Amino acid sequence: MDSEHHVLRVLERERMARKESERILESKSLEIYEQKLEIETLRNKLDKEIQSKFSQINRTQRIQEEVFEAHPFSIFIFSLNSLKILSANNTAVEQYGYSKKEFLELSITDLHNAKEKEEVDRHVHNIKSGIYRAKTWTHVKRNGESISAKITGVTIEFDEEPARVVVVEDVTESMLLREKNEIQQKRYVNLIDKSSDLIFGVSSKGRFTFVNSVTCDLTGFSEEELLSMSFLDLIRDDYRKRVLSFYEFQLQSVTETTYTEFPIVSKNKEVNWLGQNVNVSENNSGGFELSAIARVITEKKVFEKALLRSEDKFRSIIENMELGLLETNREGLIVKAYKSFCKIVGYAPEELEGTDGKFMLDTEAMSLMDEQQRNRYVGQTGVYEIQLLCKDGSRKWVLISGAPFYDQNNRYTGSIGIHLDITERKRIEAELLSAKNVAESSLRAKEAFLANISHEIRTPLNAIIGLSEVLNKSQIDPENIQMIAQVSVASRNLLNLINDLLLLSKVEADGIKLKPAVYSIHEVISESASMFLNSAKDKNLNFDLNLNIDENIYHEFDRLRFEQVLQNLVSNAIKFTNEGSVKLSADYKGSKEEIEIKIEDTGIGIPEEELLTVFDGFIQGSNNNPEIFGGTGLGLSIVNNIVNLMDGKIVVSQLEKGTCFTLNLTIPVKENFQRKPTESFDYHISEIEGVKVLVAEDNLVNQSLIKKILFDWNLEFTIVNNGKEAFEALRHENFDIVLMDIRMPVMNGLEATTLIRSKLNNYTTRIIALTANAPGDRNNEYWEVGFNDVLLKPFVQKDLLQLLIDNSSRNLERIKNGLMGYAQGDVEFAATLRLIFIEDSTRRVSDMKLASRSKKLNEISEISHSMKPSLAQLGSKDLNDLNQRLENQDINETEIESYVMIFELHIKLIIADLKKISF
Amino acid sequence: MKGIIFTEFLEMVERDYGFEILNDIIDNAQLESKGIYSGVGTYNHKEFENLVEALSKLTKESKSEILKKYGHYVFQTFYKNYSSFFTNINHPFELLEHVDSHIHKEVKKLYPDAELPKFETTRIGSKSMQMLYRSKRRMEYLALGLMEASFEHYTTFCSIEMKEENAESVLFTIKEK
Repeated sequence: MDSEHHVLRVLERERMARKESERILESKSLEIYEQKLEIETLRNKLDKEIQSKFSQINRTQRIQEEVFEAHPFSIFIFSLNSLKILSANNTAVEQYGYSKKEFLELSITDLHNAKEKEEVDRHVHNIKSGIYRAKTWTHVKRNGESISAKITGVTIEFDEEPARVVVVEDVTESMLLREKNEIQQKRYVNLIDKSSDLIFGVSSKGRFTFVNSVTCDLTGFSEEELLSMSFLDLIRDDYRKRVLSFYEFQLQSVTETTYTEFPIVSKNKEVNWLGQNVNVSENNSGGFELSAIARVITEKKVFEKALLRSEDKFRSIIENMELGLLETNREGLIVKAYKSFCKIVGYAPEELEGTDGKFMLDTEAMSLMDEQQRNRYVGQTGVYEIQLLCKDGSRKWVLISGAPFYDQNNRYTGSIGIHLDITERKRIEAELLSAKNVAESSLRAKEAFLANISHEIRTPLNAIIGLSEVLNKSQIDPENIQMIAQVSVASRNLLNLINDLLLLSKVEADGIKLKPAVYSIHEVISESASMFLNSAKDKNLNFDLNLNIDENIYHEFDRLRFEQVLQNLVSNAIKFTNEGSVKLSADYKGSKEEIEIKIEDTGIGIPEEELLTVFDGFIQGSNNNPEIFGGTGLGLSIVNNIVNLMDGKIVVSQLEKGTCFTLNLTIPVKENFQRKPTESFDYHISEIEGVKVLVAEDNLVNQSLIKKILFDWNLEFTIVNNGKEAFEALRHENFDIVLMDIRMPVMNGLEATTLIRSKLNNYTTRIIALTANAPGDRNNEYWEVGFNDVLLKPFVQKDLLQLLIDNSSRNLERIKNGLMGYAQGDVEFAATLRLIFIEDSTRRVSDMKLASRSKKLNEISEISHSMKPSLAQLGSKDLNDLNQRLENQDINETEIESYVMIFELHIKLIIADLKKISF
Repeated sequence: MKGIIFTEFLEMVERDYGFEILNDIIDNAQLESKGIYSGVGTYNHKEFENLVEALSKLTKESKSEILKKYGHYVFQTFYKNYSSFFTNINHPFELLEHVDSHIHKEVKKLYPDAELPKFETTRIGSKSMQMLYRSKRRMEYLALGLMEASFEHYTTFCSIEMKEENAESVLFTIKEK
């Protein structure tokens, strides 16, 4: 039972295991079935792919076949074993003239001549063993014609045997061409040989590679001899090195063509000059070769030598001209120093050539030279002077004329300098210059001396003239009257003399400036004439005045100088005429601007030999006895100087009896000039009644003179000794007018006036400068510090009276008139205008001061312009001039502040005057 | 693990120990398959370990002894059923080299899911060889039994040394006498 149970269990397990196995197998079978289906699908796909690949291959094959058949070159395949042609394209069949069937029965040896057979076999053998050389063969067509066939091939496997595919290129025509070329070549060779020029080839080593027959003929060497020679062997010894380096350079730089000239020596020692063209070309082996064509130019060379000789001749001429010649190249280096140049600087040519020559120049000369060099470079010539440092250390001045020169292609190649030794001339120039300086400075010294002396003389003269005038008016002995008159005349003459001297020295030293203004010439001459009339009367002479000019035409000129000319000429005429007449005439010459003035006399005349020298200074007629005529002889010299200044002309001529001076002037006409009504004044002491005067004068004689006059005039006055005392006096007391001497000890007049205006703020007192200086000399300076007027010493009582009146009642009258004119006669309006002017100008001046501190010249100019109309009515000429300069921006930045201060000062002076007016 | 290993093992137990022992170890081993195996099926290898364990307990033989014995047994089965693998093989070394390069490849084709041990062989001279056995299952004694059986089959005398390399591999050094 037990073992049965065990067996049953095993059996049961076995049955279960079988069922399990069947299940597994069934699922496996299913799996296999599915895989089979999948394989089927894949195989179908594969089939399709294979088919498409097949058709692709077929297409490619068809194209290849077409290409093969239609190829322009013959292509065929032959067996390397049997040499039978296995395949051929149509081109081949046609080219060789066979039918395809026939062609495929041929062996390749059939395409060759029988005698080439062996060679063909050898060739095939070589191909089989891998040796292959491209070769051009002669193939025979069916009709017996032969062609040149260039064959290229490749070995392939064809139907399982080695075969050769060959491509045949028909080169028959190009072979023919080559033959033609050879014929051409022969022609060239012929041409070369028959040429009249030497033609030959030379290797880069200088060996002849070919020569033509002319070369042989000329050199006397045979072709064989030449071909074993070097080209250089032919060249004359002295030229060999040069020619060698010439061609070495050509080879190095690979310059295609060159030309040069040199002499050659033939076998029988005959010398010939060759002009040779050489071409460089690359030969087959990559080296260079020279081909030369040369021509005999011996005759040309002879001409050239003649040319050189003549050039030498001219060079030697230039050399002998003592002009130092120097040639420089474009870099400024000396390429040739001529003997003449070397002689100047003392260097030998070889010391100079190749250098830049700068050791002969100092810094200044160097920079000048550099500049000139640059000018040369752009083609400019130039003449300039520099100093050269010579070898011996001396310096020489040379005048250099430099010019660029050019080669035949018009390229700047350098310059040539011609040096003229001007050391001596320079020395003389320098001496002249220093002499001139000495002369000029001595002239100035003379003027200064004269100015000084004149001041010293004027001061005592002032006393003499003043006191004799006083004496004249006092009770004196009748017998003394004559003597006093003589003192008076003598002192006046002395004063005139001094004025003349001073004027002349001024003209000579620095020149004087003309101050033109507008006047009627007619009027000016007429006014002077009254004085001349009196002088003429004194000598019982007739004075004729003949003015043929329009008194209503105005000219612009310096009246003072013009009058000086007339006075000198007329007073001379009167002086040298003892009987008869003096005639003064004026006429227009052509236009109204050209005026001719004649002064004729019936006097002693001027000897002919002295007519030319009368205008020189310090010379008086030699036959004139100075004792009779007196004078310094300065008059005509002054006249001449002034006339020259006025661009005029003066000539003197001898009359039958007497002398004639003819003065021609060209003076611009002032059109539409509206003259101001003439103010003719009568001066009366009563006009200065009540005027209080302060006198500052250090000279006691002058003090007493003025004291006497003022006392006579019944004026209240104080006299002080210097500027400081004047300042103190004004500090405590009011004065209407101050007569202020300029030169005083302790404090001079300028300083005192400056202080009075600035420290005391006194603008109401009028200050008059008393000066012995030449007229007009420093007037501007006085005006600038605040003087109102100037009185020249010495003066006569009339002058002083006029001055005092002018600066008191007349001055106020003038200002009032100006204001009234401005207000067109309306008194009330004039008073308003005064107020407006005072306020307005004060404000504007302060604006102007502000602008001047920041140098705003524009702003100042605008303010000046706005003040112009009122100042024209009220201001002095000096103030208007200054205003004009401010408006024109005529004053530079550094001075503008001080000029604006001067302007302010004078505006304040006008305001002070305006305030004095009562309506 | 392939079913054939199980069916052959049960065959050997039935032949050498009888039905009674066979049923006992199947009972004792507590098998999920209840001891029903088909040669073409695949089963958890744990069941094989349990079977060997159960037999070892019952018979007091060591597991190594049982596995080695099984090696000898199953070699005969292989030779009988798969003789094509043995054609042209004249020496056990060749057979050993053949295991990885041919036999296991064929097995893989038929059973892609089979997990097979690796046999990496290296010849040392003409008479000696090293074989590195690698398997997570560590049934190197089964391999030893198979080898001994093959030596016997080719009448070759060899000494075999075993050396554990690490947890998953054992190095066999084989020298022909």
